[in-house]
Amino acid sequence: MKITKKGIAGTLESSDVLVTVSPPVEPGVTIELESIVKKQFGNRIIAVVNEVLEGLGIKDVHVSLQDKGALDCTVRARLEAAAYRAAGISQLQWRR
Amino acid sequence: MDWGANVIVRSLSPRVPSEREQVDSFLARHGLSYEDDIDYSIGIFSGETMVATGSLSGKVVKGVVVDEGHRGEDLTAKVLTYLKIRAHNQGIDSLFIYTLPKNREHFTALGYAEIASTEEVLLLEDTSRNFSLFLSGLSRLNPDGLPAASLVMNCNPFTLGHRYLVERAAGENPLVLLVVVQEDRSVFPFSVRMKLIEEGTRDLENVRVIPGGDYIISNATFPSYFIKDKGKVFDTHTRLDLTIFGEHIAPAAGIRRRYVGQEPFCPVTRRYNQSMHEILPEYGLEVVEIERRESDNTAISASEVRRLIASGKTEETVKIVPSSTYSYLTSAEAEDIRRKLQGGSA
Repeated sequence: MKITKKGIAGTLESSDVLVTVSPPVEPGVTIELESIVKKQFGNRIIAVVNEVLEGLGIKDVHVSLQDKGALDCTVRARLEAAAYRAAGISQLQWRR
Repeated sequence: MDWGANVIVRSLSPRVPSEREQVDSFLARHGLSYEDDIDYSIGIFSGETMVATGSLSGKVVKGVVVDEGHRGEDLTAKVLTYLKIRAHNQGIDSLFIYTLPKNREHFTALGYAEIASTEEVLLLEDTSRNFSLFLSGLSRLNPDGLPAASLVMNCNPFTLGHRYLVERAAGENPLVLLVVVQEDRSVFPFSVRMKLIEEGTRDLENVRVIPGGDYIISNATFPSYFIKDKGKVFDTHTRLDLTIFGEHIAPAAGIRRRYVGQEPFCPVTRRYNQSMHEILPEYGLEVVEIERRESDNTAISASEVRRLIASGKTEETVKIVPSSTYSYLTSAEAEDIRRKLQGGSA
């Protein structure tokens, strides 16, 4: 999947995360995480992000997350939605 | 999106008097005033009663207030989310917010990153990436870490007075970073101002012309510079703008001196210059103030150029602008600008 523009999904409310996916300045993956539980779960959130990106075949991207304590499934869902929007895909291919 | 059943979110346009009035009176009840540069507001309602609001002026978030009876319901987050999505749909990359330093934790918990703060005000952006990219871009302009000088200029448009300042700096320093105010609030649009500066300094090999972006005298770092606000607000913003320069920009670019032209006319600029002398030395920066060059006993100024154009004497600017600026001013391309100036708005 190729990220061609900026895509956004989620909210800043409790237990949610606002994810922004944008084309990178340089090739590769960069992740910017702001989280109220960064100390406790920062590594876990970044692992989930990498896993989703890999699953979608995204190699060049900048992901920014403003997290308010979202569960893994929420991070996953918000990131997928933002990535699809950023790739300009409106027809969802549901996960196999 | 499903926000739960208790509240309704409505967008309120500043152009619809009844909607503007709703925001205005809610802000007034909370001791804030409605700012005229607001271009979008939202209100959160419980029944017909407004319980929270927030507004945007371009990329700056303004007037976020939650009613006392509804604090602790995460309404700030709701307001900021709506503003973020609205901004995103308008092609705005990131949002800035000014607040009191005591609110720092409240906004960092919402994913906002601090750009700079003074005793009175705190500026945050909802990403830390843009600022760090801006700073690393500056570092690349001075890879050898030469002791650089910097000028921050609007150049509306570029005159021989500006040229004189730049020449002085270029003669006294190994590298000069000429920062052009990017905000489009002047008669001459940013792209034209930038072009005239580049053409007018091309022969000076140690001068780099760079756009000021969001972090040097922009609507984000310095709103009241453009509103020409008086007094305390202006001083607060001045301090913030110069703090960003001293604390972040100068070290990133290896800047040791800031050059500035003496200001005989505009009180706002004079005040800003005075603050430079007070604040920048705190960061080890030297401020070099250069007296204005004169032509026929009148100081050369961009406002004089605009005045001449406005009174239909564009040819007379030849004495006070470089040839590159002159050929632009007299070109067909500048027709719109000439007409705008002659129409009376400067």
